[in-house]
Amino acid sequence: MSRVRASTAAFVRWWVPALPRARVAWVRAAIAVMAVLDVRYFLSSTDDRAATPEFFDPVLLARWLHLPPVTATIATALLVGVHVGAVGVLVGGFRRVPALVQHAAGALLAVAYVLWVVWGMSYGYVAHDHMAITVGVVLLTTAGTARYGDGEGADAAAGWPLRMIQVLTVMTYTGSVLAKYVVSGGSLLRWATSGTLAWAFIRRPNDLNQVLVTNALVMRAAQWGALALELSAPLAFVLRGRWRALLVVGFLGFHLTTFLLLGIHFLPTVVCWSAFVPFERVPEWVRARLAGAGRLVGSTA
Amino acid sequence: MRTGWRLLVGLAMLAVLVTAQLTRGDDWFPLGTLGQYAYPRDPDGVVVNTYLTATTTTGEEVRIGLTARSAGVTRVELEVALGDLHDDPSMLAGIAEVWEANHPGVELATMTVRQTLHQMADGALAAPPEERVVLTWEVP
Repeated sequence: MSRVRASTAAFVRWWVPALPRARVAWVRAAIAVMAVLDVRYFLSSTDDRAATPEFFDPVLLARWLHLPPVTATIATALLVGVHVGAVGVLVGGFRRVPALVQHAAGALLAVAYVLWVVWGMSYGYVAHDHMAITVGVVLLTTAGTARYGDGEGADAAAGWPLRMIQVLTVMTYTGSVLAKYVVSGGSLLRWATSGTLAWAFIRRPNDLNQVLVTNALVMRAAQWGALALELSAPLAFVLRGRWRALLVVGFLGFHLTTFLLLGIHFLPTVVCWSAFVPFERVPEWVRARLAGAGRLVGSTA
Repeated sequence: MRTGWRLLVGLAMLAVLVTAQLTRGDDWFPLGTLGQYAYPRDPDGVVVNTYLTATTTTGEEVRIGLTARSAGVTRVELEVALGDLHDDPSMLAGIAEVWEANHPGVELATMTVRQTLHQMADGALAAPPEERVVLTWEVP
């Protein structure tokens, strides 16, 4: 009986872990910057849809919210909301700024960014790099007040949204293997030996991928490699310290490669890897460096 | 927020996400199917690239870049809508409007949806591309 109770407690602790409160402030900041870049440069298309309402094809969430086709006025309002919210989140992470600023800004950013993204996905094409960031920006509002300099102090209210971002980031890869399995009729072998990568290269030709696209062996090896990498994502929960850092760097390298080969950056997901990064140590690290430099200067003076 | 609720919300989201993969719930965004490049393309099949050209009222041929900024729709969105376009080519009017707004002083006379076909063999590009016209629409 006690073993069952211990397992249950461990299960709950995993899903709702105590993680550093400071990391919430850093991840919020990373997501806020990404949201601004997204609405300005990447998913900027929402702003350009006003003239083509006949292509409006609302996703489920847009239908539940009874969203009409986006208009230029709505898009502008959301654009302003994301910018103001992001600035408030970034500034609100500093201890001298009243807590109200980060709470109000976090809520504004969440509402404006989620609506922007939901509209952006409601014109026929749904991208799958926005899962963790879209859910994360909402869940991070539940964490309460968090400052960059909060140190290593940890609790579950801070840990839960971070864990959810971690889970959804990992599931972006592992879930995509499940999608491949299902779409391929229950055979990953069929996907790995298909022409999907060559198809992608032909659809988005560039100087680099055109060198590779005629080589069947390279195409096949790359597909097996992609599958292996996507399946390895849950190792982020097993590995610790440098090994985990290496895994994260490996995924960033994967995205750099797909960017060079296909022009797909996946930055909204890349940013969510920040939930694994111990940013809470940054202020102490900077202080130690500055103190060290100070001592050095002092000793030479 | 209590631990129980957090656990419940987390597991529910995971359940929705997994169900979306099994049922191909593409529009369950943000917890929809992660189907980008999931479809196993026939390694010996043909890859189709759709694009759009137009003639202006002065007889010049122009290519309409299929981005949301340039045309109000992207290439994938135009391809998703191809069936509807066959039935009602006047859906192209919105694209003409956006493009003309981006190119003041230029008016479009006709618009043509075209495709480039690439033959694959054994999962690699095997032959030079071929061209075909899908439909032409006269801009009123």
